[in-house]
Amino acid sequence: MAFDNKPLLEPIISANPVILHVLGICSALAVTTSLSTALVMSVALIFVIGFSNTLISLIRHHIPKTIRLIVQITIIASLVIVVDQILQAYMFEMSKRLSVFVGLIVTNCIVLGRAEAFAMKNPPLPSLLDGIGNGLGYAWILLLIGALRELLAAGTLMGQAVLPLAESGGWFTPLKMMSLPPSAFFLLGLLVWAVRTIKPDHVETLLDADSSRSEGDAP
Amino acid sequence: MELPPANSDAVPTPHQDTHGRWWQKDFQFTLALIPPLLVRFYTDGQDMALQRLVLLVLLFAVAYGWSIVFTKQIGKTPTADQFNFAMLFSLLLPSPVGWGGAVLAASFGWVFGREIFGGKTVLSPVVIALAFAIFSFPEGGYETLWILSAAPDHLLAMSCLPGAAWLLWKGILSWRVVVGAVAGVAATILLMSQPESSSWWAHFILGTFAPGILFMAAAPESMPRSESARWAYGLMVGALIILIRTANPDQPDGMVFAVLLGSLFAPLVDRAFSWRPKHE
Repeated sequence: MAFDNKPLLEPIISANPVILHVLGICSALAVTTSLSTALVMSVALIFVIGFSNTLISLIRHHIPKTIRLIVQITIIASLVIVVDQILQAYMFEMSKRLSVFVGLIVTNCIVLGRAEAFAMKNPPLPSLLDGIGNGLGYAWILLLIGALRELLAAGTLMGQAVLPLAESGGWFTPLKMMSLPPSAFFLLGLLVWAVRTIKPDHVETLLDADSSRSEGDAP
Repeated sequence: MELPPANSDAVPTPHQDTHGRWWQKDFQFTLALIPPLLVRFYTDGQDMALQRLVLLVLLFAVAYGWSIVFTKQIGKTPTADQFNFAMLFSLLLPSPVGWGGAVLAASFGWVFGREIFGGKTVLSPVVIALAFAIFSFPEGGYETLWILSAAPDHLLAMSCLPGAAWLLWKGILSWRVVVGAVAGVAATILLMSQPESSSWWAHFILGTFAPGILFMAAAPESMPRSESARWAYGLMVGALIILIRTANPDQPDGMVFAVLLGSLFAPLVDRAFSWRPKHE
């Protein structure tokens, strides 16, 4: 059997969950104030979505249709609790900085969306790849926006000074606005704009928008 | 839902004519902006006046440059709209901001307020640019250009009157917004019943109230389209100014945020005033 890498690679750009499906925006805005929070959040999400997709795919034939959402949420929530506990045990400071947003991975539309749309219909290995692919698609956007925001708001990356600050005789004046949530919206908008300029097939027509609205009931 | 029929001074939707009648209207605003700007030059002193003049030219170049980048027309003629933007921004810039910061804020305002939507939109670029500057450089940049404290500024407020009269005579000024805003300020002060601010009229000459109301709140793209909605909009902006000034000591001026919020609500106010119960 030939190895099919489509579930892994496709969500990274051409079916990116954040910039094409516009899912997971809440956490993408909230945790991108610095690169380190974005990094930890990305790792946490990749872990959760990879395992949840695999586990749900393993038991997909045994899940009763009527309560499938409850089963999916239970699995996702258990994984999130594991991640949260690990963060609290080994990275307490980081866990405080991420506050509720690790816990909110439970309601992250990407995780539930992939469980419902992919893991319920596909075998475990492609489901795992799909989960990791979507996690990576989410991660690179978070990392990019987190890096830009930290760089422009404080002149640092991962807490290390990169740009010489004006206060200490350099040339760079920090943009305080970049530490506020709206700036993540602007950066995300510019990013979507850039990607759609390069890949015009991302631009949805009116018909697409209607159909995605009727499908997408994820929060 | 249908919006109310176009009044003589209703705002055309984006993509509609941006020259012709519009250009002439923009030019009247340019004329009205000259006296307050001259007053600023006069009160600045020589060095500051020179810096402000350089900033004015720089900002005009920024707006013009971005419009060339977006329309890809090299020989495009600059518009009065772009010049108004530069004039108003250099007139109202509230906190010390370096050259780089000013250019960045102006680019942000002009691109997000004009170019990416291809025309006039809900928010005026000046409001966006000023909000960006205030948020980004709350305690000022490294090159201090000037500081506008929210002190009573009789001369600036008075210098707006000729422009207001001119626009009123030309039939461009939406006096409903202005009267609404003044009434909103007065009513809010009365409601908050602050007897110690017995000099409540001082709010009208404080900071950038006069130019802010005339050129930002009553700018055609900021306000609602229907005449009745403009009353409500003016009242809302006036009330917001006092709320921000009294509740937030960091924003003694408060004009920019009042207009920002007010004009975000403008389309909703429009709809509310054009709403009719369905008879079925």
